Amino acid sequence: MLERRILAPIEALGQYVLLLTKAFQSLSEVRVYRKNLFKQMVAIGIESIPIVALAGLFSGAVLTVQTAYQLESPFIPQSIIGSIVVPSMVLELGAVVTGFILAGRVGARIAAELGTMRVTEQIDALEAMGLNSIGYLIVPRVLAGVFMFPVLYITATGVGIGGGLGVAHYGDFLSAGEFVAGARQFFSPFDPIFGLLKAFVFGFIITSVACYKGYYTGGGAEGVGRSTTEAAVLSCVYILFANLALAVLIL
Amino acid sequence: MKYSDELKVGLALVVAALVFVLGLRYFQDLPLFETTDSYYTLVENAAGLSAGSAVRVSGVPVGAVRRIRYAPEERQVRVDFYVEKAVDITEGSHVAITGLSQLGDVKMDLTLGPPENELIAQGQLVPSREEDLFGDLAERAPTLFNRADTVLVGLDRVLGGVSRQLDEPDSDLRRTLQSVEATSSTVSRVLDAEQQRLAATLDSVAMLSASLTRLSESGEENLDTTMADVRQLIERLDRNLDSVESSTDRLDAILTKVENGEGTLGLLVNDPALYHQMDSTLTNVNRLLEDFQQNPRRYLQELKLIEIF
Amino acid sequence: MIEVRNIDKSFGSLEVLKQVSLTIRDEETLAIIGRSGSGKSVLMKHLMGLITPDRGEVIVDGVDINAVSYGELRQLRRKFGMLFQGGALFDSMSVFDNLAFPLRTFSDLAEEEIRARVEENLKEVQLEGVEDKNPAELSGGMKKRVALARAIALTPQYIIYDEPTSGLDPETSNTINDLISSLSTRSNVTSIVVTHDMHSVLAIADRAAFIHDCDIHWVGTIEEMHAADDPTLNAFVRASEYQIGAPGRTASPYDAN
Repeated sequence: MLERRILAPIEALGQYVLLLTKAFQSLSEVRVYRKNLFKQMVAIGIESIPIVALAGLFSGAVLTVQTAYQLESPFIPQSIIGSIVVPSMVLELGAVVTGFILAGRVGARIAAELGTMRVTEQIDALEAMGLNSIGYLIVPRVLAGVFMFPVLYITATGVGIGGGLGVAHYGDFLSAGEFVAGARQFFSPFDPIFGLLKAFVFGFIITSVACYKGYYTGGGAEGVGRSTTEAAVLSCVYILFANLALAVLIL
Repeated sequence: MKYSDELKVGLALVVAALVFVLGLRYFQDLPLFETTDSYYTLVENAAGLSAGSAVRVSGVPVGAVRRIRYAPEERQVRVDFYVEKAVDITEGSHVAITGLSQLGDVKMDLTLGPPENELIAQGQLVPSREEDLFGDLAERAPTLFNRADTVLVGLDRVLGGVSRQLDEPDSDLRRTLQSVEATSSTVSRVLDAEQQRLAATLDSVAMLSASLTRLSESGEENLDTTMADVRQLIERLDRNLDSVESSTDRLDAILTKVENGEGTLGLLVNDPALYHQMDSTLTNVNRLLEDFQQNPRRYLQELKLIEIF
Repeated sequence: MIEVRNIDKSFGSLEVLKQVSLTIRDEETLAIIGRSGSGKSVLMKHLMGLITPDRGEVIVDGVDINAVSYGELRQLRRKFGMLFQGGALFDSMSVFDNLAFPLRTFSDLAEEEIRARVEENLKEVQLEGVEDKNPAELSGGMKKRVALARAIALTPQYIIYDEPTSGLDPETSNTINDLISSLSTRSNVTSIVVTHDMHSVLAIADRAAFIHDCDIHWVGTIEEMHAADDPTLNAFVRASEYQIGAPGRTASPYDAN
């Protein structure tokens, strides 16, 4: 029993890696997934833009108000708020907020979709037709994640900075000019590139974990439910780990 | 109207890329749509400068630092930067890093060359100049102190040797100094004495010439007395010269001793180690003085800096 | 010809198949019968490599399907058409797209030709005017028929039916059985029907293979089955036999299982 408990996660990891290996091997069969790729890019990317923009807007606004609250001191120039809000959005919040929201929205969706296909034998049907089900189902989803997450990150970050700027200006914390001046003072072009990298990684994690959970769903409707929950929760956890790992390794 | 998935995705990607690039430029304080030219410069020290730091002309941002890295082949720091196309960087332009890294407000100031000069081509070197007074001094203070320190250590060592020699009652230096003192007092006494006599002689010569003048004016009758005077004068001069000769002989003897390496003065002259030590000390002092002459401001700033601290 | 040689399969600690061997002859219709959970579906999925055996071989037309590359296996699977138990229609696509899917994926037909083929296939399963519906809007019997139309879209050599009549009322079941019969009379078509519905077996099969206790317990023609004196087989057959001669009944209590 103990042996199972130790071996099961390792086995799962191996299964996950094998699945991704097969997916990458099918990468060249563009014909199989081309149509599906754009469909998934719309489902995962375009349709997530509103919720991600909303989350970004509020993160930026709240961050600004709270920074202003914490830095209320005559000795600190107000422009410092801009210097804090912009890099925070760019480096951390843009990518992580996007990641969390999409772990729920996209991760759960993918796991439920593939899980249902598994338990209703649609995946078997694809295979039975002689189709590469991994290439057809998983590759476009993971690719869509990797391509569209940066777009969503840019949306969240851009709208978030806009929200922060708006609140700062209209909430009488500091003028838009001061906000931008502060942001410019400590702006490093590497920050958004690092944020973009995070988005790539998070996009890959969420979609690949969800695909793995969905693809290997077992046990009917209950199994689909379990896979969906696990996909969302595990994506969040792995995003946290990946976030730390990237920060330690690259910064 | 229904749009195809491909169109939606493509549009989203294009818009995102556009927002990303423009945002990057906006926060780097670059013009959003103008194109830029790239250049690089080499500096000794780029502390505090970072990618994204502004490049300014007369205090106005016109570009930004793109990348900073240490160039091993030049043993300097290579700073890549870009400026708006509208800014003509002509030969004679130079950049300087300004601002205090402690305050995180480091920028690069670009001073443009004369407009009639040729343009520096894209991607080429724009020379740097260390113009920064305050910040530079803060960076350089340690090296400065180190240099002063080595000079002082050298001096200290020499003086230590000297004082050790002086402390010993029987030391060569002491004896030499005593004999030098004796010699110089003798010489001085001799010269004093001779001075009076020489003065007298010269007075006489003056008188002689006056007499001669008079003689030439008053004819030949006084010539005899004059000649007698002259003879007397020459005799006195002769005696004086004898005395000088003896003084010179004595000086000669001292110098011979010195030459043979007897006494500290002799050692001083003949021992190369001591000479080199002195020499290097003097060289260091000299360099310090040269540096001071060239960059008086730096030292003046140092004084200011010390006041501030 | 499909040969199954000594395959073992277990899931975790649960043994499903033990030393199973079976030969499926060309152009016959073979019924694989047995109780629910006896391993019929697992055996069937071995036939086209959807499940890999722990031990043993599956030889399709002389090719060991577990020894070839994935690409070759996929090529081989195109000889098969499969009707899944629940239809396994892609619920993200309309009926038309479901039927057009194999044609679009594996043939170079133009869109008009595909449309014509789809209509033809639908006619063959006696459905019309459902092209634009979603699978979720169809009844169970219609789903099965659409799935059947999809399975035969590429004119397969082997057609596998997994519980074709389960969950259907007897009348629809009969329609399906008729369809299977008519399809199996086509030249060069081998049919494998996995079922526990003896109606189907009697209506369509030439031979039957009875799975019991993780093994092929009995194989023979339908006539031989009636004459067999195997108690386990007889118990299974007799459980449905009273319905065979009783046309007035509308539903079999075993159908849903």
